[in-house]
Amino acid sequence: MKIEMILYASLGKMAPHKNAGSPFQVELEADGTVRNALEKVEIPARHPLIIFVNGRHSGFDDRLNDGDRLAIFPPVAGG
Amino acid sequence: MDKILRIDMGAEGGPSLTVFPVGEFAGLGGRALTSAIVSKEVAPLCHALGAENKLVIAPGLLSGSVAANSGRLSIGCKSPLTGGIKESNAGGMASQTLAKLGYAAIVIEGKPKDGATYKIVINKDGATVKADNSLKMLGNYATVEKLAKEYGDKPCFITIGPAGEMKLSAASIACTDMEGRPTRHAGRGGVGAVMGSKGVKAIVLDDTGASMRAPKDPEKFKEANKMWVAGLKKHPVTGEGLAAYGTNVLTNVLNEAGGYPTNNFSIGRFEGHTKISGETQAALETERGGLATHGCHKGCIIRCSGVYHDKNGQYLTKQPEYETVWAHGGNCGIDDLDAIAMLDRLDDDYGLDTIEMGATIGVAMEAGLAKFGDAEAAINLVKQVGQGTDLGRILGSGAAVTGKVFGVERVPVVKGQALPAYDPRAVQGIGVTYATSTMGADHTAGYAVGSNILGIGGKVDALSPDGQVDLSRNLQIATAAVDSTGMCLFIAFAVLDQPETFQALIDMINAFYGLNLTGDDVAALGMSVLRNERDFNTRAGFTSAHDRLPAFFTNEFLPPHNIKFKVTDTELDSVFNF
Repeated sequence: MKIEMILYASLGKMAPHKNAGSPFQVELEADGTVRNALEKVEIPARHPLIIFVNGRHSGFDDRLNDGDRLAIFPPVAGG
Repeated sequence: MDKILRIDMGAEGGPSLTVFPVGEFAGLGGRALTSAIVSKEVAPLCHALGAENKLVIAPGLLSGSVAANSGRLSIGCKSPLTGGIKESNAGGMASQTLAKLGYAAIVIEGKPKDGATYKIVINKDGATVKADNSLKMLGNYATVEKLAKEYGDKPCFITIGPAGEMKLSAASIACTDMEGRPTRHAGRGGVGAVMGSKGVKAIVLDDTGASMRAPKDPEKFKEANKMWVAGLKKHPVTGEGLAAYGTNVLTNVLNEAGGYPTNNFSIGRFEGHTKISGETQAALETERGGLATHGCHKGCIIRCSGVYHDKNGQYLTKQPEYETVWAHGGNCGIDDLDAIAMLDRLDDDYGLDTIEMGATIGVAMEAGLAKFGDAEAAINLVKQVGQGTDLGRILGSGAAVTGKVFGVERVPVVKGQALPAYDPRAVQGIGVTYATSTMGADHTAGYAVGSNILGIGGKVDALSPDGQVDLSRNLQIATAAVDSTGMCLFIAFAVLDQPETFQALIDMINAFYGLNLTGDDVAALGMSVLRNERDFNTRAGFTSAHDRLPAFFTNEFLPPHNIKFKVTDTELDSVFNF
């Protein structure tokens, strides 16, 4: 299956195109998880990261579905 | 900080100044002090722009010391925007300077009868009030430039722009930053209008010859401050994230979460988000010779601010904050950082709250005064406020007034104050804070976004009503305490995640004042502040009906999650159950 992945802020440099905030496609096995997607871009699956799948908070072992949008942030905040 | 300067602007024969011992208010600082004085001394049913209202300006408990990040200034009064109590706080140099001069607070009372424009000058020899009509209706930038010519560039300045002089409800009070620019504002609630109603245009604070405040136990204080600094540097947000991208890093986060209010709170995602994100902003600032990292006051080690240059590489404004970029950006459908920076500059110069003005322009766009996305029209509307046209005065009175005048239903305000940059349907915890805060809609009053979205201070599902009341209550209590210390609220990111950093803060207060406070005492302080504020608001006529979000948040689904605000009224009424 293929998912859309977006890496933000300082993680942008880990994307194939090296750009923060630009989506790219990742191919995973049918039962792929967030952890598997992170492995593809060589980001260690350990906290703290902020993970959204289709706009909902998710964890490393959550299953992904074809066409999902996976967004990853390093620890950030503002206000 | 053992004295209070009271200035009666309405005294017979001209303004009179009296210095009192801090007396019954000893041990209080920042918000605890402003809210105690306002709650005790201001008639809750008075007109906010009348002689009976008081403007209270107070440094925090640790301001003026070497404690890192202790430079927040609290400004309190009855708010002309909400009709309730107000504490609005700002960074910049004023808090440290006022504390070093030994003042726990300045209380500006009464109302001048002569219509003159006044400036207050405070230095180590005392304070004076002088009429200076040459400052009348100047913008904040021109005002501080003129004051710096007269008093030099060493003092810091607290000023209002034309919006404050026109007594508009969105008017802010500006504090100069380390570079002497009027960029750090006590923005919310129309505090600038109250200063304007007192005829006070500027306060000059010169700490030449004054020393840093000394702790009672210097050794313990030094050790605690060391732990404190180490804790702030260790946490990934206060140590790294905020400095790299500034507060505007949240644009992409809230957009991903589907809680980024777009086109006047009609949808939760903005197509142009990457064009105005913190990442894009920081790169642009660096490319143009500005700064992507900058502290707003001496002693700040988080350095979340920056300096924004225009296309020609010339200074335009400080780095617009997330709330500002959202308010004038996505909330108005605008994806042009230069236009947003210009709006920030205009707001700072006229002396306007950027959140209130962005929300107001969003409401005006919904009313058809301009199209969503039309940056030039937004700039022209804000310019009308500075010019004081009839339309400008309506807009400068905030989103609630503008919505009423133009017959708009979707008006994002609580207690008359505009909502900040998180849609309460997709971030339900912040909705509880918006609804119930003593301040009107205010994200800083109990920043549930941390646990709802950012994974800081625990995790509570943003889209569910469960656990949000407890979360907001605890945060509102903690925030009221932090706002009393003079500490920047961003220290909370480290304090909530690292118990030893919270302990270091308590240790600093104890070492400074010779106390033995515990974490429970800090919570008790926060609760007492909120009780004072709730009591004032009750006497001003507020009921549980005022602790509600506008109806559209419970009636309209917000895309992309297609969700409504689900916390019940009964739950909202249990927030202040202590």
